[in-house]
Amino acid sequence: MSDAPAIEFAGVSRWYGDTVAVADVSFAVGPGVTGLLGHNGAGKSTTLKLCAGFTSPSAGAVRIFGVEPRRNPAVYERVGVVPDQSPPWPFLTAQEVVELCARLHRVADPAAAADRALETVGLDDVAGRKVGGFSHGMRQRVKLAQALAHDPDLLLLDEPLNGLDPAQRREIIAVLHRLGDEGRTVIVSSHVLHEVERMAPQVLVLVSGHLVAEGQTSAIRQLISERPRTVRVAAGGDGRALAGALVDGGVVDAVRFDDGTMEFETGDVERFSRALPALARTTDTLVRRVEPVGDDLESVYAYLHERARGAGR
Amino acid sequence: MIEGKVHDVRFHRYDGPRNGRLAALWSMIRWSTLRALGAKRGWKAKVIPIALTLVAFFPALIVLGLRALFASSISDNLATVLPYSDYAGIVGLVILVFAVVVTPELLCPDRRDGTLALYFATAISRTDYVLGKVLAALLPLLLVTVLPPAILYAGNVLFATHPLGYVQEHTHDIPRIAAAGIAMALYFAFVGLAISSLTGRRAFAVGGYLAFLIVPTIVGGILSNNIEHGENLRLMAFAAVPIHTAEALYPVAPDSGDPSNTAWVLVWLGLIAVSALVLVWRFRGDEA
Amino acid sequence: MIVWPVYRLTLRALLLQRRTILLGLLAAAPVLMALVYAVAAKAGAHHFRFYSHLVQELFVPTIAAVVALVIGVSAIGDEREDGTIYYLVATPQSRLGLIATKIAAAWTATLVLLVPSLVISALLALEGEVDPSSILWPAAGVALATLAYCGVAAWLSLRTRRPIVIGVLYVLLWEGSIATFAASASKLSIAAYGRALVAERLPEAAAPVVGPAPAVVILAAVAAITCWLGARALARVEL
Repeated sequence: MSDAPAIEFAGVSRWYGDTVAVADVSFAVGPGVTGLLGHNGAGKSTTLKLCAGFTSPSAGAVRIFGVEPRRNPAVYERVGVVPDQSPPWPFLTAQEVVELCARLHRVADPAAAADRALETVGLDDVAGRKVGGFSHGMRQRVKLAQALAHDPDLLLLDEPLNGLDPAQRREIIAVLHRLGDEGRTVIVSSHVLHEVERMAPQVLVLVSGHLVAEGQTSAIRQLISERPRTVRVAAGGDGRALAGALVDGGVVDAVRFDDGTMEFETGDVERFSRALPALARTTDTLVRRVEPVGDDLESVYAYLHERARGAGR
Repeated sequence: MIEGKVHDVRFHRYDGPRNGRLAALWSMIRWSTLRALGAKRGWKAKVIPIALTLVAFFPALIVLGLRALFASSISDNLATVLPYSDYAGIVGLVILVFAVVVTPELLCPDRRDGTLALYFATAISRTDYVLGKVLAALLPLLLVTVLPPAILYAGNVLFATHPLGYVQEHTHDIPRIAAAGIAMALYFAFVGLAISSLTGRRAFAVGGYLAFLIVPTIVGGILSNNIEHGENLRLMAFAAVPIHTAEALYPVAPDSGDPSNTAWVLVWLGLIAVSALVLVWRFRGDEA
Repeated sequence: MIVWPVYRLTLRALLLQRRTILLGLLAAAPVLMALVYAVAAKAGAHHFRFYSHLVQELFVPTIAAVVALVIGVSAIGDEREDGTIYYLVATPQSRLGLIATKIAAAWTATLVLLVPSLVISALLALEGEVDPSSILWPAAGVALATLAYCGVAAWLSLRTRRPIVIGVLYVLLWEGSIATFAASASKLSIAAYGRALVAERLPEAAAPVVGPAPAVVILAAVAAITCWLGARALARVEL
C-alpha cells in the first residue's frame, strides 16, 4: 500500500450553476470508519461522488491513494462504491451482479468472490433471484456485496443503511466495523445521526457544503465546549436553594424546574462542575444525579449547524 | 421528557375560498402551455421553441420588411409575392418540428414523474385532463400556425394604398387564415398527444412522433410511383397532410387531384379521430 | 479493447427492452414496403430502380439512422438515467474500452434488427434477380453508417441530457432536409457517406459525395473520434 492517504481533498469546491454544493473543502482520511454527516443537501452525496470520481471538482483536487480517480481508473481496483439510490441492473440475479462487478475489478475467481460477498451481506440464499424482484433492503445489500467482492482498501458508501430494518442495520454496521478494524478506509454518509455515531468513531461534518468539523466525535465535542450546555440535576427536596445559589454565583445562565429535576444552562461547564459540589454543601442539598443533556452527536451537530448558518447558500 | 405536546398535523379541511373546477383546469392548461414553451426550465429548453417561433415569422417579416424599405410601386407587387395559401407550405417544416418538440412535453413528464395520479386526486377528472391537455397543445401551435399569416395580413393592410379597400377585398382571407391555422394545430396536437400518451419518456415520444410523420411519407412517396394505382399511397405523407388540408381551404390553390383535396381532408379527419380514440383509451377509467 | 462482460450485459439490456420491439417494427417498414411492391408492382416497373429508392431514400437515411441512434443512446443513456453506470465507471476498466464496448454492443443490436430487414427487402423487391453485390454493398453502407451513428449517439448521450431529440433532429432535419438541398451540407451528413457506399451498386439520382474508399475512411473516422470523445466525456462530465 502506498503512503498516500486513502482520500485527500485539497481545496475542493463543486458548484452547479449558482448552487454551491461543496465549498473549499480540504481533508484527508485514513484507515478506519469515517462518518460523513450532514443534513439533506449539505453536500454529502456530492462529496462522495467526488471521491468516487463520478464528477469532477470545479476547483481543487480530489485524490484517492494519491491519484485523481477520473484520470487513473486503475485505482478503482482498490475501491468499492455503494451509490445512493441506483439499484443494480434489475434483469440480472444478485449472483450475476456481484460476479460481474468482481470480474470488472479483475478478481481472479469472480464466482467465489461473489459467493463470499453475498454471504457477508446475508443474501446467499436468494443469490439466484433477479434483483428486479428484490425489496429495497435486499437491493441495498446487493449493492454492498458488489462493493465488497473485490476486497477493496477503500469503501465509499452513500446512505448504505437506507431501507434496511433494524436487524439488518446491526449486521451491516458490524460488517463495517470489521472492515474498519482490518485497516480499510470506510466512508459512510448518513443524515441519521445516531447511526453515524454507532458506525463511525470519526466524522466529517458538512453544513451547506462547508466542512465545519472533522475528527473523533468526542474530540469535536471537546473543541466546541465553549458552546452553551445543559446539565440536568436531580436533587433531594425541591433544590431551589441550590438553583438560587448557582444563579447568584453567575455559574448558570438559566434554570428550568421540572418534576423534581432541574435543567441548568451554562456557558462554562468546567466552572459549573467545580461550583456544584461546594454550593450543594452550603445550601445543604442532596444531589442525586448530574447528567449532561444533549451531549450526543445530534446536539453537537445542531450547534455546528446553527453556528455555520449563513455560510454558503 | 419534560412535557409533551402533540401537534395536530392530521388532514385539515381547507376552509378558504374555492375557485372551482374550471379554475383548476385553467391553471393546468396555463402551466402546461408555458412549461412546454420552456417557462421555469433551463435556457436550453427555451431556445428551440423560441427560435422555431421566430423562424415561422420570418417569411412574413421579410416580405413586410421589403415592403417597408422599397417604394410603393414595387411594394404592390410584393403584396402578391406571398399568398396566404402558400404560407403553410413554406413554414410547414418549422411547424412540424415545433409540434414535435413541444407537444410531448405536455404528457410525458406527468406520466414519468407520477404527477398523473396527483392530478386525478384533485378536482380535475380524466376527461378534464385530456381536454385540458388538448387545449394546452393547441395554444402554442396556434402561435406558429395562425399568428404569422395574421401578421402578414395586418402588414399588408397597413402597407396597402387603400387599407380599407384591401380589407374589403380580402375579407374572406381572415376566416381562411384562422381555419387553416386551426386545422394544422388540431392535427399536430391530436397526433402528437396520442403518440406521447404511449410513453413516459419524452425522448421516445419525440422520436416516435417524428418517425410517424416522416417514415410513412417516404414509404408512400416511393411506393406511389412503383405500384399499380399507387397514386393514393401519396396520402401516407402524414407530414404533408396538415399542409394539404390547410391549402384545401383556399379556393385559389388549384386542386391538383390525385389525390384530391377531399382525400387529404379525409386523412386529416381520420388521423385526428384515431388519435382521439388512442387518448381516450390511454386515459380510460381504470388505470392512471 | 472490448470489455466482454459489459458487451454481453449491454446487449442483453438492449434486446430485452420493449423499445427494441418498436424499433423492430420500424426496421420492418422496408420489408412491408417491398412486400406491397412484390404483390402490386406496376406493369413495367423497374425492380432494381425500386430497390434502389428503397435503400437510398428510406433504409439508409431514415430507418438505419433512427434505429442506430436510439439504440446507441439507450446503450449509455439508460445506464446513466438509472444510475447503473456508476457500477461500470467505478472499475479499473479503461474509459476508452468501456465506450468502445458500449458502441460495439449498440452496433451489434442495430445490425441484428437491420440486416435481416435489408436482406428480406432485397429478396422481395428484386424477385429472384438478386446477386450478392446488390445486398453486400447496401449492407456495407448500412453497417458503416450505423457504426458512425452509434458512435455519435454514445458521445451525445454523455454530453447532453436530450441526446435523442438532438440526434433525431440532426438525422431528419439536417440530413433529411437541408443536406438534400445544399450539396455542401451533405459533406456533414453520415447518411450521405453511407449512401456513397451503397451507390457503388445502386446509383441514385444525385452523385455521391465521395467515392467508396473515402466514405469508408470517413465513417470509420467518425466512429473512432466519437468513441474517443465519449471516453473523454466519461472522465469529465457529471455522471
